Amino acid sequence: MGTAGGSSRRTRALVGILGLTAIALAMATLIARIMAATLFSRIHLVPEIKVDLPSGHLFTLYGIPVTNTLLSCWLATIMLVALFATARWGPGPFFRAIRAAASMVLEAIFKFVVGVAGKERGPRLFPIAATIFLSIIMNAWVALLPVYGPVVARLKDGSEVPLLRGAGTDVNMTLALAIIAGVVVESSALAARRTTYLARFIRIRSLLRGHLFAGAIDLFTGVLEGITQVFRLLSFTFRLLGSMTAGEILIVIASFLTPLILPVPFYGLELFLAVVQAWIFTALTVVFACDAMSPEQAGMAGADHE
Amino acid sequence: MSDGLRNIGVHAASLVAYLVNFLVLLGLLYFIAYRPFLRMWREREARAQETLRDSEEARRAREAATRDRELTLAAAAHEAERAVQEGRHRGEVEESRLIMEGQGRAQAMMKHAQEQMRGEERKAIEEIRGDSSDLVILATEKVLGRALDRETHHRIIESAAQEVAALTLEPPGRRLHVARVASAVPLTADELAQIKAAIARLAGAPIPVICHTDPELRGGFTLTIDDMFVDASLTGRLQDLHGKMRG
Repeated sequence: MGTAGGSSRRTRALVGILGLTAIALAMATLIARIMAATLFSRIHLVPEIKVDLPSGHLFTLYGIPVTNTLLSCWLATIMLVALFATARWGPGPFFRAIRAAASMVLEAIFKFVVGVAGKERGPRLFPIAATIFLSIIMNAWVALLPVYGPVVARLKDGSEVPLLRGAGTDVNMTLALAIIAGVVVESSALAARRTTYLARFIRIRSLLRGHLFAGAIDLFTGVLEGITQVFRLLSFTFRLLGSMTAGEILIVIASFLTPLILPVPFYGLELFLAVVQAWIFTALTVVFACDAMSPEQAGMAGADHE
Repeated sequence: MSDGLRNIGVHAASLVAYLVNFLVLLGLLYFIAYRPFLRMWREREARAQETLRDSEEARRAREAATRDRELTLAAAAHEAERAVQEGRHRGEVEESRLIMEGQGRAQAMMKHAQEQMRGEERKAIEEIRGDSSDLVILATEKVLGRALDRETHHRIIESAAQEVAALTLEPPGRRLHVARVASAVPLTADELAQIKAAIARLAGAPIPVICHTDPELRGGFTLTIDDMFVDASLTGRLQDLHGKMRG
């Protein structure tokens, strides 16, 4: 589809948009910081380098600790819903353009999911995969807005924390996504293969046949399979957490080192890395789900050692 | 372990909050975006399948039409070949018939021509014969006209009287009444007596005889007895000869 010239033009257009966005974000951040430093004496133009892994607890709402990352996540959620709602129901050419862009994004995700999972399973996995992708990318991009950083909240103990912080830097958010991905994988596998999937973890066929040594190895292999599932969950969690946190730290350091020279490339890098991380998380979820649903895996579970 | 998790910021309530947030987002986006998108995709797939089916049916129909066309062409070619063969055979038969007919006509024409030729030949021969006999009779008449003297007349009359005397009546015994004699020259008494004697012998008794002359007879005499006529004249004999020469 399309010629080589068309695809290179498209790539140049995307790079151009990315660059302009990065420039706009960096400029907006600098302007916001200058304004805040001018208006409020305790806000420094050049931010202090202070990295806290746990998110800042702002207040408690019905027993739920509302942190700056959770607030940011809600903001990202509202923006996502608003974006798609306007794309669906908004009148006029501007909203038609948003609708076209939203359709393009959904089309790309759908094609990828159907390409991996097939036309039968793909539509079932698509909503979860698309939500994971959009959630990660929106949470990462919204963290690049100028309000993230300069606007701080004073806590009860007198300390100050940013009012908003990228939800990707909160381990609870990435762990939640990893749990959701794990639930999708396991439920898809159970729905597709039922008890034969459980035989992947509980391998007692050899033992029942009287092969003690082989049965013990099979049993241990089943336990390892279970541990693999757990570590996959941890891998999902900390990959995304590490990438988002490192990106935030990179922006802070870049802003500290070059306060007057706009850290444009880093914003561009963050924009691009957000897409990459979201895509990796979504792709791994779909691939693991398809792998778990695949009947070829049944041959590996409880293999006879004869 | 719980302290360790707490140190890195894992909090059960926050975890639940994020899970709930994700589920709410999933639900909202499903109704706003995913469901219409999937519906559109299914409709597009159905249309694509229908288009594929239609194109497959069209391809099958086209192949069937091509096969039918080829069969029809083959049948038409076979029919044409058969028609050509039949036409060729009919042509050959017709040619043979025409040739035979032509030959027959030619033979008939030849036969007719031959018959015509033979007819013409016969006619020519008859004409020649007639002309020849006429010439012969004419010459004979001329010769006779010059060569017949009285003595010759007498001999002829005598010969003729003997011929009459040798005749027989039909039916025998019939009664004769009168005899008329026509001679080329006037009869002498002897000659008359011979003739009367011959008549009497023929009639069985003497009967009256009437005589007259007729130079057209050239020689000899004719005898008419009731309805019986005897031609013993030279003219009569020349006419017999003429008739025989003519055939």
